[in-house]
Amino acid sequence: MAYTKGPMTEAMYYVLLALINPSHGYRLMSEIEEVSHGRLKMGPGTLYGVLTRMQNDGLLQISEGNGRRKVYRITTEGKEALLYEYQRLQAMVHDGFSLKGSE
Amino acid sequence: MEKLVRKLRFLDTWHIGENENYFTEMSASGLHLKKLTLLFAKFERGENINYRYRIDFSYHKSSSSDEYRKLYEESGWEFVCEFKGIQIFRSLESLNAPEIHTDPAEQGYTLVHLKNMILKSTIIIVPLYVISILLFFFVVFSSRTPFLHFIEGSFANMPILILLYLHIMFAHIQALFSVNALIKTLKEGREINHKADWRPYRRFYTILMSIFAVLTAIMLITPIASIVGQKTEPLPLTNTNQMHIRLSDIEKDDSLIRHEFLHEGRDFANNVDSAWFLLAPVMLEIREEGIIPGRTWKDGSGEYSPSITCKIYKLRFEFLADQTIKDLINRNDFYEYMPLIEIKDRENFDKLFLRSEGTMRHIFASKGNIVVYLRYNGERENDYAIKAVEDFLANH
Repeated sequence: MAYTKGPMTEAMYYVLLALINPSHGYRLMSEIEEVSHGRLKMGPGTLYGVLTRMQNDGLLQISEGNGRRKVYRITTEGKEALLYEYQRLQAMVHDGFSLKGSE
Repeated sequence: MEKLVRKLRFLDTWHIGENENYFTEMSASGLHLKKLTLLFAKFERGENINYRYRIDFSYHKSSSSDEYRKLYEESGWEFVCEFKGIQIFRSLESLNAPEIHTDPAEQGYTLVHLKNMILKSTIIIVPLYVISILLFFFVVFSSRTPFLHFIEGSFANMPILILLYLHIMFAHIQALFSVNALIKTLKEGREINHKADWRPYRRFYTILMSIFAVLTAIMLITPIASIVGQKTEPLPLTNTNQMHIRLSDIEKDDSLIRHEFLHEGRDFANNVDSAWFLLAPVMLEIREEGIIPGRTWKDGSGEYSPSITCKIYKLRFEFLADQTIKDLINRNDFYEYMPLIEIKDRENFDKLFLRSEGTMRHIFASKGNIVVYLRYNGERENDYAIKAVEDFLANH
């Protein structure tokens, strides 16, 4: 199921966002929590699934880091996809402005 | 080392919540999952421990499995075992580790590989089995005597095999739909129920397995029983109240004596074959030949020596009788030059057919679950032969 610029899952979006700085698996979990301001606590199953899938889709790549840890880094396609998704989300939020005040 | 406790895996792989709950409950009662195989889950006996079990699907080369397991371990999940991509982890209840899957939609993606594997084997198995079943029907219905084949055992096991094939096909197709539905549910954002009830599945599985165990036993035992039950014996000189039709019942002549055809001490002209079949608990074939000393055939061809060959089927079910007669007529169609007459005005028969020409008479008759085919070569008229069969049917 290759990524075709459709809406991303929340997990995909935050993993890519966190990977702006290359990182390894376990550290990523806390980094995701950080970039989501504590809103998203991602389980290892979800994280590993997203990493594998996005790696197959070419959105990120793995390189051997120091020690036996694998380091994940975002690819150019990944960055493009993230930016595209960011713009889509922004447009969605913008379109929702009319709700302001009715909260 | 203590022996592992083996239990049949009654849950399908994609019953994720049920499996998790089952392993969790087993650990709580002191049986801790150790190993998973195709048919069995193997448990190690120990103290009762409150674990949470979680199932994950991941297919990777061994190089990345270390990384994978380490990630789970660091989050508080201990790796238990793996079987063909099914990864099982557990965590002490008291540890309160975060869930493995926090995003149902993402969990849905992990099942795509499983779905594709099931799809692949379904694509292979379903056409293969459909062809096998069609082939079976072709063999049966291209035979002129399918019911006799069934009754005499050569096809008797096929319905059971077909049932097994249908079950396997059905299970594959059902698996495909179930996994598809599960993926859809997860993608809609609905989470796995980790406390799903597994007991109804065990009940269903037990019933299904019992049925197949009984069918398999029948499939294995009946051919052996048929072989063991088959025998050929000399025909007693007089009718000893057995389930026999005898030449003397037709000839009604006290001067009739046996005409032997001896070869190596065995009389090949006067004997009886008996056999047991699942659908015909009694099957007899009686051969008898006699002589009336001093009398010659009317055509002057020598000493009068009438003979009979008689097949008797006691069927398991009465409804098989009509087809059995039909097949017996078809099997003996090399006498087709003799016209086949159905006699309908005799009360003591359900069905009665006659072929008669010269000294040859063929009678096909049934009453209830008993079917008789009598071939008589002699000078007694049709009525004598029919009467002999009638008396026999009335007494059995």
